[in-house]
Amino acid sequence: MELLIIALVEGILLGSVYGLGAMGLSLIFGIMRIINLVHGEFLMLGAFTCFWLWFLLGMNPIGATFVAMLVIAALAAFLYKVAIFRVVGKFPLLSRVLTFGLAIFLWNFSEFAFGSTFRSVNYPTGSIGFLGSYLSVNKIICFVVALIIAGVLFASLKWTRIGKALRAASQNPRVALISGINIHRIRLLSYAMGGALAGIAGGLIAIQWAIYPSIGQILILKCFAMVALGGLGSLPGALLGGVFLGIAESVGTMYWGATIAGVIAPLTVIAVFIFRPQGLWGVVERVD
Amino acid sequence: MNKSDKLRLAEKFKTDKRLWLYAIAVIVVALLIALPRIVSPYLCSVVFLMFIYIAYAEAWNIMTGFTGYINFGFSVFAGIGGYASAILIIDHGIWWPVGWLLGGVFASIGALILGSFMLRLRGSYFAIGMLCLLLAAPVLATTEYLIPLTHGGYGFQFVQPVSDLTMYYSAFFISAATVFVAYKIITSSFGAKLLAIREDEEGAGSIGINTTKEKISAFAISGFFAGLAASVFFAFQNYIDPSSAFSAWYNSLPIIMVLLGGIGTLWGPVVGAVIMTFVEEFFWSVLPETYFMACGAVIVLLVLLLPGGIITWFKSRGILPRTRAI
Amino acid sequence: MKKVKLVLVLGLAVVLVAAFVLPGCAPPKEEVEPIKIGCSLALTGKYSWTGERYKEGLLVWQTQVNERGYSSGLEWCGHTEPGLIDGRPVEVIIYDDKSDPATGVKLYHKLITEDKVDLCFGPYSSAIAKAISTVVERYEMPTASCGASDPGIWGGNNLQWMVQGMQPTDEYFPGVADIAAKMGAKTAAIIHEDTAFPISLMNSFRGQLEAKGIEVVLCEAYPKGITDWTPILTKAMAAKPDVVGIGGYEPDSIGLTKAAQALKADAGIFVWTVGAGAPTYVEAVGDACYAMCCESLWEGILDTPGNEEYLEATYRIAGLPPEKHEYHTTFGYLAGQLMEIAVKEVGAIDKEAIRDTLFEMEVETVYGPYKVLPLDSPDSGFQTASKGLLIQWQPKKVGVEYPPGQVIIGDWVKEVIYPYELATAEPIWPHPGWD
Repeated sequence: MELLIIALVEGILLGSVYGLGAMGLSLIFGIMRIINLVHGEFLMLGAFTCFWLWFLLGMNPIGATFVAMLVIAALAAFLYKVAIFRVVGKFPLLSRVLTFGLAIFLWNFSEFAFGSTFRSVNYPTGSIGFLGSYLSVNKIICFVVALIIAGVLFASLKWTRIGKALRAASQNPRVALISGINIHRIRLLSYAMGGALAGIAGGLIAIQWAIYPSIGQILILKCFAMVALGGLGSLPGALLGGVFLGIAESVGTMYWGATIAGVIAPLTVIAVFIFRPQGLWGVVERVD
Repeated sequence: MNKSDKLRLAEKFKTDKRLWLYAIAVIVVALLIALPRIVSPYLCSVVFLMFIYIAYAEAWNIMTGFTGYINFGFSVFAGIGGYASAILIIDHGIWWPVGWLLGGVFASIGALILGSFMLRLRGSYFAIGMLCLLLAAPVLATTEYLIPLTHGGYGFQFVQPVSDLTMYYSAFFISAATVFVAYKIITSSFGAKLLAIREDEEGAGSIGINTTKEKISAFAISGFFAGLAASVFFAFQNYIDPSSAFSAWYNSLPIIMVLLGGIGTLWGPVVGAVIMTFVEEFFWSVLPETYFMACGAVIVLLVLLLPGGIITWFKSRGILPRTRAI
Repeated sequence: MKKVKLVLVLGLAVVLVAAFVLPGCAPPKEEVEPIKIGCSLALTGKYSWTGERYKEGLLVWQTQVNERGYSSGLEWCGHTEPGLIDGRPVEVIIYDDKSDPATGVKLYHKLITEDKVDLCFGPYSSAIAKAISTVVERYEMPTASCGASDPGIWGGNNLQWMVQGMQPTDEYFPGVADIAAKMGAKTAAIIHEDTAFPISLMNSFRGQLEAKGIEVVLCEAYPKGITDWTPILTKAMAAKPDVVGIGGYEPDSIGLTKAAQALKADAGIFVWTVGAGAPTYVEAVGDACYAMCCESLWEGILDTPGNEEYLEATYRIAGLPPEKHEYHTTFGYLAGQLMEIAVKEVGAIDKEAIRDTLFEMEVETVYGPYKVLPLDSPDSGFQTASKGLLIQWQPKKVGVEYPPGQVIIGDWVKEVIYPYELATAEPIWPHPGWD
C-alpha cells in the first residue's frame, strides 16, 4: 500500500512536467490544427538554454528556466513568422513535414554546436522523507513551478481578453474572425506561448534528468500521447494526460515492469480514441 | 526500313509524345537491369535502397494519397513484415521467397486487424492514433510475451541465403510491382471509390460505397507492400531489433518523399524517392556532420515553395497531362 | 520502330557507362599510394558521443604512424621511417553511419567496393557490428573490430575475417561478485536497458553473481527512451539488495544516479556500465559520484607498453588532457595498433596473410594483451586475453601524488579497485550514504 502511494506521488511529480510540455503542444494544435513535430526540439533547446545559463553564468536554474521560456518563445515566434504560418489551415501533412524538417535541422544543429555529450543541471540535490522512502527536492520544486505556470495560464485564458480570444479562435476560427479577433496575431501568440511552455518544461527537464541533443525525438512521441489522452486541443486535458502518463509509468513499473509500463499510455490513447473520442475526462467537445 | 518509314516514325515521335515516354521507360528499365554489371556494388546498394524507398513511398501513397487517411504509423507495418520474414526464414527454415511474401502477408493481416478499429477514427485522431501505435510497437516487441518470437531488445542477427544481386533484382521487382498495383488501383473503379472517400467520405457513403470495406482494403494492400519491401530491406541489413524495425526515421522518409513528388499521384512517390535518395547521398558526401541540417533545410524549402509536390506542379503547368494515371 | 528504340537504348547506355567509368580512369598519381583503411562510425545520432571518441583514437594513431612510422610502444615492430610499411602513409577513411545498422551495411559496401580500402576497422556499437559482419565476411576483408563487445557476434558464427580487439561482455564487471562475496553480500538487483549490449552484459553478470552464491532478487529491463528512472529504482531498492548492477548508456547513468540520490538508495555497492566512468559523468552529477563503481576497459595508469607516451600523444594531437581521458578513445587507437602489428608482421598488403596474423598473434598493445580464438574454432575471432577493470570514484586525498595517467575531476579520483594486483585503492564498502 505504501509502495502504491509512493508510486502515485512519484507519478504525479513526473506527470506535472510531462503535462507542461504537452500543454504547449495542445495549445498549438487547438488553435492551428497543425502537427507540431518541432515541439520536441523546443523542449530540448529549453533544456540546453537552462543548462548553459547555469553552467556558464552560474544562474539559479529556476531563474534560468524562465529565461529559457523567453528564449524559446522568441524562437517559436521567429519560426512562425518565417515558415509555420504558411502551412496553417492547409493540408495537415504539410505542417507535419515542415515541422519535421525544422526538427531535424534544430536537432542536428544542437548536436553540432553543443556536442553529443550528456549533461545535467546539478541543482538542489537533497531529498525529504516520505512514507519510509524519499522524494527529491528538485522534483518538488519542479512540480510547484509547473503548477504555478499551469495556474497562471488557466487563469489568463479564463479571464483576460487575449485568453478569451485564444479560446474563441480555438473553438471556431471563422466566428472568431467575424467577431473582430485578429486571427493571425492570435496564432502567432499561441505558437509563441506553446514555445514558452516548452521552454519552461525543458528547463525543468534539465534539472531532473540527463539531457542530450536527441532527447527531443524521444519526448515528442510521448507528448502526442499525452495530448491525445486529454482530448486534442484541450489544455487541462493535456496536463491531466501528462499526469496519467506519469502515473502509468510509475505505478506500471512498480507492479508489472518497465516494459509493460511503456505501452500502457499509447494503448490507452487508442482505446480512448475509439471509445471516448472526447478524451479521457471528457473535458472538451470533439472539434473536428 | 526505307526512308519514308523513317520519316513516318519521326513524325510519330513528334506528334505522339507518349512514344518518347515509352522509349525512355524502356531505356531506364534496361539500365536498371544492367546496373549491377556496370557500376560498383556500393552504387548498387544505393539504388537498391532507392527501390525500397520507392516501394515504401508508393505503399504509403496507396493508403494516404488515395484515401486521405494520414498514416503516421507506416513503420509499424514495415516492422511486422521485417520481423515475420526474418523469423520464418531463419527460425523456421522457410524458403526465402516464400518467407518474404509471408512477411508481406503478415503485415497485411496486421493492417487488416489494426485497420478494422483504427479506421473508425477520422482526421487528426487517426493520424495521432497511428503515431501512438508507433510509440507502442517497439516496446511491445520487447515484452516478455513476444521475446520468444522477436528475440527481444537483444536483436536478431541473421544471414539470409540470398546474394546481393538477388536482393537487388527482388527490390527492383517489388518496387515495380508496387507502382504497377498502384496504377491498377488508381485507374480502376476501386481507385475511384478511394478518391471519393478522400474528397467526401459521407458523400461517398451516401451513393452506396461501402467506405469501411474500401478503406480497409487500401490499408491492407499498403501494408502488404510495406511488409514485402521491409522483408528485403532487413535481409540487406542482416539484423533486426525493435528500434530499427519500428524506426521513426524510416517512418518519416516515405512521407517526405511522397510529399516532395506529389501526394495522391501515381508517379509522385517514385520521383520523390529518387530525388530524396540522391539528395541525401549528395549532402552526406559533402557535409559529413551537418547533412541532417541540410536535409532539414531542403525539406522546409520544399514545403514552402512546392507544397503540392513536383508532379502536381508539372500537371498544373500543363507540362504533364492531368490524368489519374500519372 | 524497334531499331530506333535500340539505338536510343544503346546511346544512353553508352553515355551513362562513360559517366560512371571515366572518373575511375584518371591517370595514376606520382606520389606514393597511401594504405587505405576504412571504417564507419556513429558520428550523429544515438551513439555519437562514443563514435566521436573512437574517431579521436584512430586519428591519433594515424598521425603518429604518418609522422614517424610507429605508434606508442610498437617500436619493436620495426619500420621506423614515416608511413606504415614501405614508406606508404596511412589514410583512415571514416564515414558516419547515423547509428543506423542499414547505413552501416551500405557504407561498408562503399568502403570496400568504391573506395577500395585495403583493410577495415569495425564500427561502434554491437548492433551495427552485427549487421556489417556479413559484409566484411563476404568481401573477405580483414577487420579489427574494437567497438563491439557482444559475444553473440562471434559465438558459433565461425567468422573468418573479423577479430574482436576489446573485451567481450563476459569480462565486464570483473570482481564485483568477488568483492561483494568477500564483504558478505547476500542479494543483488539488476536493472538494464532492453537493448543488445546491456542484455548480454547483464546475463553474464548474473552468472558471475550466482556463481559466488549471491542471490539475484530482481532482474528487470527497461525500454529504450525512458526518461525518469525513479520508479524502477524504487522497485529495485524495495527488494533491499546489497549489490545494485545497472546496465545502460551514458544518459541512463546520469539519470539513475540522480534517482538514487533522490531516493537516498542504500546498498553495499552500485555498479554501472559505460557512462559512470566518463569524466562528463562526474561533471553532470557532482558529489553524487562518491563511491560509484563502473566497469572500465582501460585506464591511463595501467602499466602497458607505451601507455604514458600514448597519453602525451593524445594530448598533443587531439588536445585531450590525460586526466580527462576515456577508454573509448583507446578503442580507436587499439584498432589502429592491431592493424599496424599485423601489417608489419606480414610486410605487405596481403589480405589473407594479414587475416591469418590477426587471428594468430599474441601481443601487448597500449590497450593491454591481445589474443583471439583461432580460425578453426567455432567462435573464431573472439577475444580471450584482454581483461576488464573495475573503478570507483573516491575522494581526492590531501598530500598524495597521483600518477600522471590518473583521472581526477575536481575532488574526485578514479581509482582502480579490481583486479587486486592492479588496484590503486581499497574498495569503499558499503556505500557511504548521500550526505
